[in-house]
Amino acid sequence: MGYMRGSNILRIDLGSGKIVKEPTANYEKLWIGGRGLNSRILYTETDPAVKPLDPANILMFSLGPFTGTMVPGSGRVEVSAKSPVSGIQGMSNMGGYWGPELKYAGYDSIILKGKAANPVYIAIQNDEVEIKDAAHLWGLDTYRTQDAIRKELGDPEIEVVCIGPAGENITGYATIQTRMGNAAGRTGMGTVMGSKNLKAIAVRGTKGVAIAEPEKFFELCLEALRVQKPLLPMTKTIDVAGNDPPSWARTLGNFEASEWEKQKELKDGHKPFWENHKNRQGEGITGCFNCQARCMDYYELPEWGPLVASCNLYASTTWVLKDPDLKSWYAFVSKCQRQGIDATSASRMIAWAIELYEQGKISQNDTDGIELNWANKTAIGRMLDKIIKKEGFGEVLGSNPAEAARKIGDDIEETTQIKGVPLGDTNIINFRARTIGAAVNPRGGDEFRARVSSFDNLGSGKDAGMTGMASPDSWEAKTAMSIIDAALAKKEKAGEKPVINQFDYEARGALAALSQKISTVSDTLGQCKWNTIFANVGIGIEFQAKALSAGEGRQTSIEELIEAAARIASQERAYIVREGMTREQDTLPKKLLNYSMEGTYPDDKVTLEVLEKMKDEYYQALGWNVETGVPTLDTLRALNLEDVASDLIKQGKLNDEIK
Amino acid sequence: MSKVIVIYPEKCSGCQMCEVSCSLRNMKECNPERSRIRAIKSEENGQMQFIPSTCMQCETAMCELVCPVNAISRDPQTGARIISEKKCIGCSSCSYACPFGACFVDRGLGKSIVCNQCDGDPICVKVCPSGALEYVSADQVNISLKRAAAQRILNAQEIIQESPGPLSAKPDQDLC
Repeated sequence: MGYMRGSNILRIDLGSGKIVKEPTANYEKLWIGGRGLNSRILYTETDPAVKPLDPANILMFSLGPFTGTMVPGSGRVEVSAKSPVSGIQGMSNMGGYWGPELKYAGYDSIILKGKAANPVYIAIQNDEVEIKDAAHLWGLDTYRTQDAIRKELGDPEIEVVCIGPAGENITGYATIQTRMGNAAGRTGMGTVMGSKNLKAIAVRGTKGVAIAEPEKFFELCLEALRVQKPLLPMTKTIDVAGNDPPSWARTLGNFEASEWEKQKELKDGHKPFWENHKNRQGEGITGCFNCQARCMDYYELPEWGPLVASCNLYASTTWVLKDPDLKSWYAFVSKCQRQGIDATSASRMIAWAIELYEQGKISQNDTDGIELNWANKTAIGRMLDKIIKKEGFGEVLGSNPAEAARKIGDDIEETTQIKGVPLGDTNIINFRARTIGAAVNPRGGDEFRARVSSFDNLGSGKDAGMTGMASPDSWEAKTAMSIIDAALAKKEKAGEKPVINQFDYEARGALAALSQKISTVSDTLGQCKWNTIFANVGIGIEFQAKALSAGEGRQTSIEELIEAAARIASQERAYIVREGMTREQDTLPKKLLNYSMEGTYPDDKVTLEVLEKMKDEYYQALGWNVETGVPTLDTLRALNLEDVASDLIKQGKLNDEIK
Repeated sequence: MSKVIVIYPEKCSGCQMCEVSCSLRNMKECNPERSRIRAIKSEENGQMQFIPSTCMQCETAMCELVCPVNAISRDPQTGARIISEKKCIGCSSCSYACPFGACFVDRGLGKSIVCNQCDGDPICVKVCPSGALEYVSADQVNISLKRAAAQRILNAQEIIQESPGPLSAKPDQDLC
């Protein structure tokens, strides 16, 4: 086996039942693994004519070289397919324990094509791969499915990814789940899996991961664990969820305010949940493979059953649905996990419908007789059931935002979305870093793929600077500060006050490009970015380059990782461009432009002019055409993407570049 | 005095860090299958339980007694049982005799292996993020376990008295 690799890509055609193994080495040099490999294969092996739910769409699960190793946070899997939510590349990164098990079985990726005639699941044990009947599993929730497969195959060590009834029903934004709280949640990857009649993939591997320089790799990982340990409280769900007001990171309802008077109530509501697990308090509750953050909470309330949740789940249902009652939250999230549906998208779509209902734009005639008011727990629960079952008004809310609006009426404005993916609850208005991150995020729906959270306040002046940045000496911080400093010098030269704070647009576009590359490196190597400087946890790309070098036994520099990330960014962009998107779609929902929110920053708003300026800077930083947002011919050539360039020229998308 | 690894299973959260680091340090690859400590999981309908399992350093060690080639002895420095790779014939007698399944024939080596306490500095204890493992003097196991039990009672009393508990939140940490 190759160092740090499972060494094989497993290709399965569910239509014909054909199973082929291909060496990962074919892709390692340019694409490394994980997200890089997925984005490349989606581009080269599908064309724009393929619809998300066609059998010809491909569903990919890819690991990076770090997955399954001693690198902190190495449980990651990147899932990708053409998304039924956005119509472009869907991407979702999941943790848990399944990825490492797949690596130990000798694989780096699973690439699925076709559609099975009947419900099936895939069972993998090292070299043996079998497509098995799943008729008896169809209809089971995601917890029970995993139990049933372990029992059937007679091995409790088996790890499973699966869909729930929502995925089986091909509901708009279904998830792929593993263990309890881990999900490929966004962009409808479970919907694609359901459309292929694939219930689950069960894996058992015993081969391990070979390391080229084990002693050196061991020491590097041990040191990384030591460095990040004191910084880990930052990632604990209890700290995130339990903040006192104001909570500047969140938004209420459909972006009504950035503060919530009931936040205190929400915080206090945690108490009974925590008391059941006092022995684990402060020592980590649960989390993913080989991760000391233990950022997730594990609850086991007698009358409610068990539940695992991470920080974003608290807010996306409580804040968005304006209900601080943790019991209704518990019920909502538990149902989403068991039935396999994205809690973030579901709560956003329900919040949108509630607003329409309260404004009188829809009535009980539309909602199947349900009184859809804010914080009406029963109504929200019933609506979620209907979405999962694709029944009545639930079928409307389970559609993607544009379709849902169309189904209700011509004059209905769709919910807040970016590139078709419903927004979460994070405050993307009052921090320019988040604003641009959300606008240009290649998969839409949030800012997490083009924003590094520890850069949010990065700037200069009295209220900004390096505050909150855990590692000011890191490559990330220094590179980011050099961008800020250049922008400050430019401002000063223009006779302006040399200050950049969270509300200033200068430097934010270039920082978003840098952030996207940093995030892409983690998603490609198979490391959780919450274990890195992304979330202020101290270790970053310097460690990643060293660990990869020791693990593979050949030098990889920071610059090479960043170049690979730039290649992946341009490859992902080329896919979007080929699908017909332009810089127009890199934008905020109409509602959020020129929009001010009550709360912490009531006077702040983002104008279209500022947004466009930040976008210009972002495209420039990535070597893309500022007018069109298309990677330039020079950029594509420099990144070894000549084939992509020829393809774009052939498609008429790169006209302006032909010399 | 020899030392032992004490296990607090209620604290284990199943991260497998002990397994990954043990296999890397001792077997030069990342492979839980070849780790000398395992977090044994049991999951049913979302209820999760994990119990770390490794060599308990028995006073009367069945592994040592049944070994047909006298390959197992005590390290005079740490008190840990060690298996001589030279002598071991990989017959699995020790695996069958061990009440915990702690020693096992490694398929890569063809020899039996068991926790050697990493020469007095067990890596599993060092990396455990949940406080589920402790490395203590063998004569302190008893008091360590008693203290853990006492802590559980204290915690229960706190719940009854509705004390605020450690639910403290710090500002400026809202990162999501």
